[in-house]
Amino acid sequence: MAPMGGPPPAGGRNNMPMRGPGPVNTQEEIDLARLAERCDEMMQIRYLEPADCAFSEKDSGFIQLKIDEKVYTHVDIYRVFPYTNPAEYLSVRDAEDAFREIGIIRQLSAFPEETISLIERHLKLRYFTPEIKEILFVKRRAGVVTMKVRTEYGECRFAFRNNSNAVIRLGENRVFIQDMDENRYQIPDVTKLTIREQKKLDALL
Amino acid sequence: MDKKPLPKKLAETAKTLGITEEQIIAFACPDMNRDCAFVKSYLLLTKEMLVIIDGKVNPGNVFVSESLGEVPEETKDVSEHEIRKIPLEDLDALKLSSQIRTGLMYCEGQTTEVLSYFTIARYGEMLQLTAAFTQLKHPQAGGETETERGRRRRRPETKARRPMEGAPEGMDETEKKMRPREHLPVSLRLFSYLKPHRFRLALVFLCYIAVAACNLVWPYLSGTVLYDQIMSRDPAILKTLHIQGNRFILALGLVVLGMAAAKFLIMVISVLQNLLNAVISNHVIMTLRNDVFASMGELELRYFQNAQTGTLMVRVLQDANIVSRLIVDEMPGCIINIFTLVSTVVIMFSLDVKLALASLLLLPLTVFMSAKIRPRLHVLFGKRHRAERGLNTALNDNIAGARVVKVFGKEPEEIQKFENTNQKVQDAEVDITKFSGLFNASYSFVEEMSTLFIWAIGAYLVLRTEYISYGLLLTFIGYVAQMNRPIQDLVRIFRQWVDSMNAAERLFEIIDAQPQITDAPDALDLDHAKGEIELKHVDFGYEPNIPVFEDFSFKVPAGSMLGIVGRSGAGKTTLVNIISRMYEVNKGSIRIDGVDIRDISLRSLRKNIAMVSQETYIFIGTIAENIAYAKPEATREEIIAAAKLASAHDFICKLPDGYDTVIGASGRNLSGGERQRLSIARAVLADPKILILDEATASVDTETERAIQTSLAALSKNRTTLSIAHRLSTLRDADYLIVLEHGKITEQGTHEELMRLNGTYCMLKELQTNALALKGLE
Repeated sequence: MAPMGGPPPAGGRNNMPMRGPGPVNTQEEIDLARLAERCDEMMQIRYLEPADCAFSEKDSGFIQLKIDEKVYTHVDIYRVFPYTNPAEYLSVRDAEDAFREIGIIRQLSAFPEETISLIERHLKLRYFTPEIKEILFVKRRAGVVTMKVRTEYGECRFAFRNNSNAVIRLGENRVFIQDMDENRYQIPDVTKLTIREQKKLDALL
Repeated sequence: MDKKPLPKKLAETAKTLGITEEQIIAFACPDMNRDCAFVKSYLLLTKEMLVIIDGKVNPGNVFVSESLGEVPEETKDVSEHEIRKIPLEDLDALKLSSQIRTGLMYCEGQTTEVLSYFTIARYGEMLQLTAAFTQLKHPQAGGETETERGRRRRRPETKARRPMEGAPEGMDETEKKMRPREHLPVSLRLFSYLKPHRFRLALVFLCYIAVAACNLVWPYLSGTVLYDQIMSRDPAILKTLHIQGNRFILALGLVVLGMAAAKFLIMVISVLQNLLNAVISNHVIMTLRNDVFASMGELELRYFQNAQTGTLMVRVLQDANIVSRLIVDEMPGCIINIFTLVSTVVIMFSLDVKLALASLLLLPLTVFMSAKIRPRLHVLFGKRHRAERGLNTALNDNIAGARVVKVFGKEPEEIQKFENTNQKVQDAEVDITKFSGLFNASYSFVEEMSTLFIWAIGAYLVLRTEYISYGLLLTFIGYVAQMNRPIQDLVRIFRQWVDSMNAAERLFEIIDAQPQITDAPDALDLDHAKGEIELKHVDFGYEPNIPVFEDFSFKVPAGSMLGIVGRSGAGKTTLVNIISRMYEVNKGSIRIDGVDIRDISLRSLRKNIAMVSQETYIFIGTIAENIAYAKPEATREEIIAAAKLASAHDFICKLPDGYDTVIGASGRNLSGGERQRLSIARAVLADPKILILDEATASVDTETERAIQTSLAALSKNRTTLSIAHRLSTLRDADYLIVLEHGKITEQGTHEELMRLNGTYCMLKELQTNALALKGLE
């Protein structure tokens, strides 16, 4: 995954066209034009308007986006602020062109119902983080914590090393636990757990 | 590839499908469906086909994290599952796509289609399966996709830990070895370190029993024998002691000697016991340290990068600890001790002046020992402290320099070095224990002897004259014993006091430090700065006698870009430091929009100047918080826009936690270029009138530099920009350039003018162009 999108322009010598470009030959002129276009693109943010774009799910299981008559057959959607704004600012990227950003969805709720459910389903998979509804048991041994919990997806058992990297606190009451396999579990509000569960958890926080 | 056995039931199912165990090249157990429900699915790869056995959604399914190393329940009846067979000729490629917390496998060929979904824990085995497929399909290529490579790079630790054969019951060999040890409670593991010392331990127990026995003898001698037999002149005692006649004084002398011997025995045994204790505990600690260090050498690099290595903070914390201990623990003890001492002396004198004087006769000896001999122990403590510091330095070096150690393969040497340092600590520790054991023993011996002295004198007085009663004597002895402890404590507290005062001094030094640069009383706020900068006859030096600039003047018009060129040490960074008033000039003035910066409030000055330097500092917090550092009230859109301008948006979006990623001290580590781009985004959001770029692109690759350059070019529009760079290509957009040498401007003008001048600039430019041309970059 190359974050910078696109290969470097070949043979580009004087490729900073912003101020007083010197004399250049034809080949370089083309490069410059391409680079300038790329650079302009890089600096611009396109916010996607519901009216301009049509999201659909293809048989392949990937999301297709049609925008301005252009069709992207495989787009991936990333949360820009996965925890603090999960339903806003979604970055839509072209998986077939080095994950270049096509645009940002400012607010998912502004889109039609079927688009919302499609994108939500994909986001759910991408950011799969079971919510811990109930802590069934916590066992601590030699720095390794084993937990059995009930989540919305069913019962989960996992283990993690009890250090600062495994238990992440976000805000006052939100807790994320990352197990040894890098699966994540979240407790949206610790205070909503029973006192007994909180006591079990206290030893870890 | 070593084959791991298939789960039994799966093998049976495979048989019903007409596939023998030998035909299966690879298998994997994806554990999810497209709706994120936990299922037990299987993938079988043979030479002819890929078999997908899709698990059913069952509310009773329990998700078991792979690292628990438990065998997931085998599906009872696979026949109910949806089974799909895809001939290999229909598949061109099997690819994995990382979904941050999950993953999916899709095929390319006749159709592009997602075939299965799995949690991140299954990534390893899925990777095995796709690799086996690629190997089968394109034996010569044997490669992996870009995504997969990226994925592996990101998780180097899982490669070693995770079984790569895709077995669900997977524990690899190292894991199996580690497990039993890991699961022992810490205390039990500590006990295992005591094993080599079992004989010494037995001896220590014997010592305890002997001391207890001696201590039992003492009251017997002082009570029964002394009072009931000798003092009440019981002839039986003379008989037992084989003493002729009525010589009770001789009997008394013998008993006293016996008691002294008992105490002496206790002393000898305690010395032995202390020595044993010290040898055992220090050896255990040393072994532990060596073990920890040796295994640290084996740990992955990431572990070191996350470890905290602060030295100043530690010192400050330690100093604070010392001071607080004195205040919290010792001061109350001190008061109680003084009170006890004074009241004891008063009571003693009020009871009997002569006996009180006699009691205090030996007191100077204990005071002398505490005050004069004990300090030698202190010297030894210092020695140990230095040895420990050496140990910490060795440790610190290895944590901070873990990369260098690994690169040069110096782990064995470093471990040897560490063991040597550790040996020194142990030696120092043993020295201390030897001396303090001897000292403590002889000290308490003197203590006991002084009590005995009073006791003897008292008893003599009781026997010879009727001057005092037994009861009074006993009371005095009690008091004298009571005085020893406070004296000892007071001497100790006094010494600690000196230490604590030193520590407090260091702390106050920090607290009392006065800021050198402050606001003038009538400082102005620069509200709508244009950004014109002028230096007039500036003299400056970090040390007053070593000037960096002398009579230095130049002017930068508002909104233009000034490039500053010069060799290392020419004063480039110093120049921008004095312009942003990090240091005060010695003479002359620096003006912004015609106002002396000393007349501008620091707040508004700093608000108008932003600096992006080669040293980037990332605070503990999320990426969004770091970007919004100078403008905490920034909206989400402003933050995204700033990141976008700084070419940071893309890499941030690809982090699993996006802008919410926690970075800094113990958080995720960013690369040099990433940090650089974050600090540019920070500057963008601050929206300053004057932008200082101090080697802003020094730590990034050419590719990233181009991106950053573009950002910076966009950023410097309508701003006064001072740009320092070694790479002259960075400065090609500058309106005006100055060349600094030894704090003086030697050349100035536009790029063309300087090239025509054929001086330093021209030379540097040519050197760099040639160097880059050699590398094929320009």
